[in-house]
Amino acid sequence: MANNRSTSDGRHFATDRRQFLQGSAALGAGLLVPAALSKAANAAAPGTITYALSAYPPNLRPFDWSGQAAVTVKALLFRGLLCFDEKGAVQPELAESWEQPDSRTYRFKLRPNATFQNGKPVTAEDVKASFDAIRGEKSTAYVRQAFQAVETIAVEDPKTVRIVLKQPTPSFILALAGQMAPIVFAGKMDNPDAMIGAGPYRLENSEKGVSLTFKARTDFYRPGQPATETVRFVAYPDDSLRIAALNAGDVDIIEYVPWQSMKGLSQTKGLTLQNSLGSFMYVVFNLKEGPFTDPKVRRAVAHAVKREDIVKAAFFGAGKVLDGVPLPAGSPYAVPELEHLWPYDPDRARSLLKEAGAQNVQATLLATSTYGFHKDIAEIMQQHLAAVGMQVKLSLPEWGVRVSQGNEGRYHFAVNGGGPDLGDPDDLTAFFGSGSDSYRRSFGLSDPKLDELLNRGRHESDTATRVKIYAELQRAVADSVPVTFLNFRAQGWGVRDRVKGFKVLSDQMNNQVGMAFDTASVS
Amino acid sequence: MLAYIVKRCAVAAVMIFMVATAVFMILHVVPGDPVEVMLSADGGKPDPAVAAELRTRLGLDRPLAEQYASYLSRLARGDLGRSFLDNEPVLKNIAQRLPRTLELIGAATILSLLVGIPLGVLAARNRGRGIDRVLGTATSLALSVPTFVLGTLFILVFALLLRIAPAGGFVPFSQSPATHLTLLLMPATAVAVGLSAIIIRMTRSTVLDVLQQDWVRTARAKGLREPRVLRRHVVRNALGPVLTVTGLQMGSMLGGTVLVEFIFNWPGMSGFLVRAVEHRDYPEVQGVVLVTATLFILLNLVVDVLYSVLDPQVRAS
Repeated sequence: MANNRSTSDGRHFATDRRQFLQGSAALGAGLLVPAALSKAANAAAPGTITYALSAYPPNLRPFDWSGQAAVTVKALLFRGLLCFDEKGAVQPELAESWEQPDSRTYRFKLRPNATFQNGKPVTAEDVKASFDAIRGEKSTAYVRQAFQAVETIAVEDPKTVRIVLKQPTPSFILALAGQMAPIVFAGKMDNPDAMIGAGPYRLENSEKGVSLTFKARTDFYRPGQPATETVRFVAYPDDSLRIAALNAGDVDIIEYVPWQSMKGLSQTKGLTLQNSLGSFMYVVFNLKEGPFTDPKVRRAVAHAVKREDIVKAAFFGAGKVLDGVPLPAGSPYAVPELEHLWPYDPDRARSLLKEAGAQNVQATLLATSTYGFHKDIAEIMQQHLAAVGMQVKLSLPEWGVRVSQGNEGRYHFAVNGGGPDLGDPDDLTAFFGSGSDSYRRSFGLSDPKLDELLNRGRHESDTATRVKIYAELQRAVADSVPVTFLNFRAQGWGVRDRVKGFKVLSDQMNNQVGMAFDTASVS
Repeated sequence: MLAYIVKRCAVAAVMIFMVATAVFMILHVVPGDPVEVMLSADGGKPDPAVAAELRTRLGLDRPLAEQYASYLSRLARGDLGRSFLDNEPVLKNIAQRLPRTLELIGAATILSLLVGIPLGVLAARNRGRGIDRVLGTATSLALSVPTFVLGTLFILVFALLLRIAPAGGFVPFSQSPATHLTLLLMPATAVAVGLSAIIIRMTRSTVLDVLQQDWVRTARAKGLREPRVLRRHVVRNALGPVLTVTGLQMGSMLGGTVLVEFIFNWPGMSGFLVRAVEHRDYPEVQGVVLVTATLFILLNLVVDVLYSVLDPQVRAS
């Protein structure tokens, strides 16, 4: 019978002396001598959750984008005025409450017991200093653009702050609820790597490139939270090893469960798979030159791709067809009759190509070899487009090169991955709005009609009117096809059954998984 | 001897300068904007204003010649710059990672020598017999199995089936020596398997060669016992080429442990370099390549010097 042993480092696996000696013999005399010193295998001490990250966070700067792993870890250190609940609804966080006296003004009342990790109370001055840093001229904050909507930030009293926007912007409140607009201690903002937040944990130690260990604060403002004394993040960049570590019991939770492993993991005793659909795949076009300057040819592509095949082959069924515009499921903006703008219809595709006089289209599809699913999608699309008479060559450079080629418009059309930003239809600006050239949007995209609709939608405070504006936008893009979407892809977490209370947020907000540590505990 | 070393050092310095220049130029010629790659990681959405500000902060908006001059000037002062990703001095990051890779290579080499030399001698002493044939087959097998297959197999057997070892990872020696060594064992063994096979074959071959030499016959003729003949007259003379091959293999392992470090989650230089290349972290890539090349050059220098110490003919020439 194997026993569970623990070590000070919080990792655990099952072993006993007999098994150990058998293993030593198998490896050859002398080779396992160091292991003999280690009866200790990795058993988590009570109250420790070990989470396998897909990458070690390059930094923990509160305002900057440093990848998803950093976002997850930073949730333990930093908190904003607002947050999202499990269903994606905005909730108070450092703010105890807020009101909106008019369509441009927000007034936030801070929690009386909210403190930073240095014990200092969270004040309105801290809020102002943090937001001024985000919107500053030399800011590199991820939500800098969203904060350009702010006209003034005023401290009304030590616990009350008022924000006035230049124009009504309903999505602004969502930027405050996201993790990229945290409040930091105003007295120490000179070094972005040493800013102090008001999160539920403090960083106890870290081994660069390896692990970070956090200890729960005893003075967090929510009673009874965080539920677990210690959270340990360990970087496992290799997908297979991450799965092996979960199966071996080295870790309690893993992120980015590979799609091919989801089914097996969900059927493994003692493990649970939590997944959600947030991120999606889409295709951008070069609108300045090449065959896709004609919207009919773009529509032909949109109708020629059988998205079910992509979900099945590239994502092992862990996804959902997206032949319309990605909008938060269940939101008023997701109008049922506009859900399927580009259903699979190869005959329609052929006739569109004929109408456009483009029956012998030859084009290069840009994707990347860095991410297997990008490459797989490109290969599937190549087959589908060949079926309607389009000859497609694939270009699969490494990711950095692919980004450069995208930014410079060196492609005919390209496979891209994207995701929700704020969970608001204003997120669509990133795909349909004009702006500086970026690999994320079609090259040369500039459609005054779409820009006008997006602008109206962004600043319209009446929900019913917004719904109409975004419905009109969807009808417009159905014909012009500035991009075409392909599918949602699942994002999965593998969780050991001993972990309780760990719940990822809804589809649109699944990138904020770090918040789930507030309530997670181990039995 | 001193003149030889000085000459070799001068050549090494020129080679290091050439490597430094080449890596700088290649990095800047290869497409891929570090800022865009950094800001687009994991679905990030680069804001043009933020990207422009970052480029200014990182000095990437300056002319290439100016960047090169600044790079050489820093290099002359022993400063490898700061990482784009975490703003830490590259030298500090390397100093943290390099010992882990050297430890892995060192452990693998020691294992290989401990296994390879005795088995090589054994095979030579029993040439054509059963043990020689078994070792010949075993070394062929060891050389033909890729390291990543072996590593994956180790994880499957020892971590998932027998559950006697963690699936991979790293714990500092200072935190838990036993766990540290346990975690080192599997990757070191995975690397050592191939190197052991090379050493066995090399040792067998050179020992067989030396056994035919006149001085061995003389040693036997004057009545020395066989173990003494082997130890003093055969193995010592046979070790020169084995040492050379081992040294060269250690050098190539500096860049060749990528897969092993990746599979076992051993946070050494290789994974560090891969991450730096992926993110176009120029200072880190330049630093890692430069340090690795320097180590490789120095290692070869040391092997050459050792070789001349072991072989009087080389010393005389």
